[in-house]
Amino acid sequence: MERTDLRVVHGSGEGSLEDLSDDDLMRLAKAERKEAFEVLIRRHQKLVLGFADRFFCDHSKSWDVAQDVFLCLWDERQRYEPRGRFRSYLVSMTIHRCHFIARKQKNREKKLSELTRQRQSHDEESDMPVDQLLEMERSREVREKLLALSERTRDIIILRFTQELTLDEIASVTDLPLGTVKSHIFRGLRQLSKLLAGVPK
Amino acid sequence: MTCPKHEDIVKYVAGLLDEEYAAKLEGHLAECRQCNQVYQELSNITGRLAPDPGEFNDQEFAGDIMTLIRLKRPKIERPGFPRKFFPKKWLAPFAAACAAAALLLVIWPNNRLDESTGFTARGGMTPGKDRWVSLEVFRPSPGGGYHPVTDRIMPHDALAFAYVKQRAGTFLSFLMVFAVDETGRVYWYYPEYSREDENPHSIYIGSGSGRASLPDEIRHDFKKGLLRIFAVFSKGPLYVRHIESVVSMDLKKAGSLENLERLALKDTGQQSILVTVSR
Repeated sequence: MERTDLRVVHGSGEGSLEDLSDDDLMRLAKAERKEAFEVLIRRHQKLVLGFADRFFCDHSKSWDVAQDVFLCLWDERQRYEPRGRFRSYLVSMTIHRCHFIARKQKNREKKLSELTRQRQSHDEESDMPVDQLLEMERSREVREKLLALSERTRDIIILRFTQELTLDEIASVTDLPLGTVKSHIFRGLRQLSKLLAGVPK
Repeated sequence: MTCPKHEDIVKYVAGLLDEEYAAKLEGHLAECRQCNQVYQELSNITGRLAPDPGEFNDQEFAGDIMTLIRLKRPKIERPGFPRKFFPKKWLAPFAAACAAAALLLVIWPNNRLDESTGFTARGGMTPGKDRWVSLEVFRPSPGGGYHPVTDRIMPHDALAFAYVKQRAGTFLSFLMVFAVDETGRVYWYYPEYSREDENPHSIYIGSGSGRASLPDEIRHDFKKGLLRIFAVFSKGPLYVRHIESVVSMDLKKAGSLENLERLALKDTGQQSILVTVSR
């Protein structure tokens, strides 16, 4: 049930692209209004980058994947039907893209780029306060353990705990029955808990 | 209630339990140290999956994509339609941009607290008795800018918040901000709680120290009377339903809102501010 007493008040300002719905921005994008598409990207980059980042546990790869998703969305803009489900559409695209890239890159690259990334990260982190560094490491451990989950379970855990989608939204985006979504969440969380057992908190 | 099965605590953290059983389990968690420890460990896992404040808000991301669109690059390779992605000559500048962005994401954590700032908080309140944390409350002024709230607000005032963490560390990485009126009704600011069938948890504010502004101006319609605004900082995420049940119990014990300076929540840093809602 909606709580009608809660209202988020946005800053003052006349009608601008920022005030338009996702569907209206897509309509403008179809009419080649690139600035409308840029507003859409800014609005949803956290969703797409966030999903891809947790899926791959790799910042640079998530950047590439998110970029692909938005470029693909631009390429396919004429096919989008505005029915008030833009967010779900975008999440589906992101999941699809992540799976596609994961399959494609399974057997190549990886080692060199990961070594470079880790080296770079550790250099930057060496001056951090100990508490902060520890928390970063703990977060990293949890996020890396996501990679041990099956792709489907990982998708659902990310949607639930990183993107905070409702169970119904997840069911809609993944096209799975609600009960299956729940059991993926349960299994995923339990599996993560087991994988992290013995890791200092 | 006897100790629940481990899987029930997992289901509770995942938000999969029915309301009645979840409420019972919450009561048990407040009393049983062992179960509470299991709960905290699971909450830490889900909390660490959440984005850090400012993570993924890279300002250059959208601009870079628009540049590629304007360059009229080839279409993206889609599953089932193998096509070459980018011409080789674009790879070097692209890789440089990606590397720079990745580096920024690595460098920025120290400053993340300020990234989501939607306004500049001014002035401030006296820090509460929980020594490491404090909350600052503001209301937007009609002419722009913000006024610190000291002891009075109007029934329809939007409020905005800033907080200060004096010490970095993992022990207070999550935050809730909410107000309680004299009847015990809870008005949520952070996390956003607009659907009764959900049970959202504290927002993750990271482990850094310093002062940060929260991004939204949020308005509730209050009745005239007293209102206490709480900030609860915790190590793991807390859930709104749990807090609402603690508020209800503690308000009864305290007898009045004036006496309810702190909630019975273990291992939390808290500050509360009592204000009068009047015209």
